[in-house]
Parts: sequence; structure tokens; C-alpha cells
Amino acid sequence: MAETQVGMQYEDLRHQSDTALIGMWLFLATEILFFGALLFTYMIYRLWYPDGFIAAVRHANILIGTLNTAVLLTSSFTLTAGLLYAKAGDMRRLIYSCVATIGLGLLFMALKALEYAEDFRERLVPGTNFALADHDGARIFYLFYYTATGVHLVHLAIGIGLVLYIARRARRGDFTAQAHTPVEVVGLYWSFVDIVWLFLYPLIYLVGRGG
Amino acid sequence: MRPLILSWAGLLMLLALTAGLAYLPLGAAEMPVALAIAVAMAVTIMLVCMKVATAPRLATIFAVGGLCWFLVLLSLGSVDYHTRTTLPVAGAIRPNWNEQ
Repeated sequence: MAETQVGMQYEDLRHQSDTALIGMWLFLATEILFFGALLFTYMIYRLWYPDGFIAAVRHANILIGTLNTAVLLTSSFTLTAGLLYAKAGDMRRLIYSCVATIGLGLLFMALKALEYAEDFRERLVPGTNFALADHDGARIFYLFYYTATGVHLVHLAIGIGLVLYIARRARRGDFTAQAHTPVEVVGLYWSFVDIVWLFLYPLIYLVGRGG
Repeated sequence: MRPLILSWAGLLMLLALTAGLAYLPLGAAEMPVALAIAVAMAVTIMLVCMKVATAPRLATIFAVGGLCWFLVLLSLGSVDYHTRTTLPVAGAIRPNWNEQ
């Protein structure tokens, strides 16, 4: 359905667009609590096991972590540029922006896969033969690490699917300069996934490395 | 497009700053500094990419509500862990897999 079509339950296009945006914001509010509980757990265990957490942070691959943060930040901006193009009615550039965003999302996943492979090689997996077995709490850190980054990756994979959907609809001619709400809605989701990573990054790779 | 590019460049600089600061011996200030930079980056994305300032009023309420619920989660959740004196939770759940 072209975005210019107004559903029967809405007064006008604006009402329809606002409802979709508000719906995504409400979903993101629940996501804050979902990831918030994970971060809260991290904070509690970090207070209990500071030595184990510091040892684990020093084993995290800061180069890949930092590169991935830059990749994800850039992807948020390519998608926002796409929204600006959509507002200007330039759907060809919107599609290019979507393709760039998808490419950056896939690059993030590839780098993460490299990092996981390195973690497995270095026996940084909680269980028997764990490399940091002497550090109390390091296992808990790595349980958090795999859970948080895994859940984040699932969110990113969903985001890539959504951006692909936007590109296909743009190619089909569903959007106009006045009616392109799905681009905004998906942009909100993508930026949120980016923000979640901005908090995981210091907790996994940075805090505890100095001194 | 120009504000967008400037914000992106600013965020990359903040990223370089937080990565660089991680190697300095900041002691107890390490966590607050890293989280403050993360908050600054998140706010920039909320303003520039998510356009929270011009979002529908109800959306803004949900965004602020989400943050408030998160603060409730942190504060009420912490009460138990920081005041518990009789149950040694950490010792009770600490895995001891090396002895197996």
C-alpha cells in the first residue's frame, strides 16, 4: 500500500504518521527496560566482583569494539541521511542510503563474528577450561558479554531486515516527499539499537582498562 | 545535511576520546566519565537522528517515561543489593567449577 493512502481509522495522513511514530516510541520504552535490566545486572555483579570484571575487560578486543562502534554510529547517520533524501523526494538516494546502512550493519556482524572466533580460540567462554578461571567473577562477565552482545546482534539483524524492507518499498514507489513514515519509524529503531551499543561498549571494552 | 555530517564527526571524536581515556589511570572516575560520554553520544543521536525534540508530544512522554521507569528499576533494584546483610547472595551463587 502506498504511504499516501490514509487508513479508515485515521483522520488524515498526519494522524496516521504520528500514530506510527508514537507506537515505535512506546516499543522503544519497553526496550529501555529490557536492556536496562541487563545493564543493572552488570552493575551489581561488577560491584561484587571488581577484580574478575577488570581482568575480563582487559581481555576484550578493544580494537574491534571501537571499530564496531564507529561502524554503527556511521550507519545511524547514513539512515538519517536517507530520511532527509526521502523528505526531499529523492528516492534513488534513499535507496542508496539504505544499501549503505545494510552494508554497515553486515560489517558490524562480520567484525563481531571475528571477535567471537578470537574469544573461542582464547578460551574466553564460561565453562570448563575457561582462561580466566582464577579471576572470580570473570565467568559472570563473559555470560553478560555473550548475552548482551547476542541480544544486540538479534536486534541488529531485525534492523537490517527492516531497512531492506524500506529499500524495497522505496524502489516500488510507495513513498513520496510528504508520505514516508516507515522510513522514520525504522530510523528510530535503528538509532535505538545504536544507542544500546554505545552503553555496552564502555562496559565491555573500556572501564577497568586504565591503571 | 551539513549539521548531520558535523554531528557524525563530533560523535567519532567523542568515541576517540572515550577510547583514549580508557588507558588513563582515572581510578574511581573511570566509570562515571565513560558513562557520561556515552550519555552525551546517546543524547546527540536522540536529537539528530531520532529527532526527539520535534517528535509528537505523546512520543516524547513515552521517551521520558521509558527513562523514568529505567531509573525506578535501578533505584528500587539497588535497594535490596546494597542493604542486604543477612543473606550472602554472592557467596551462595558463586560457581566453583574448577573443583569439578
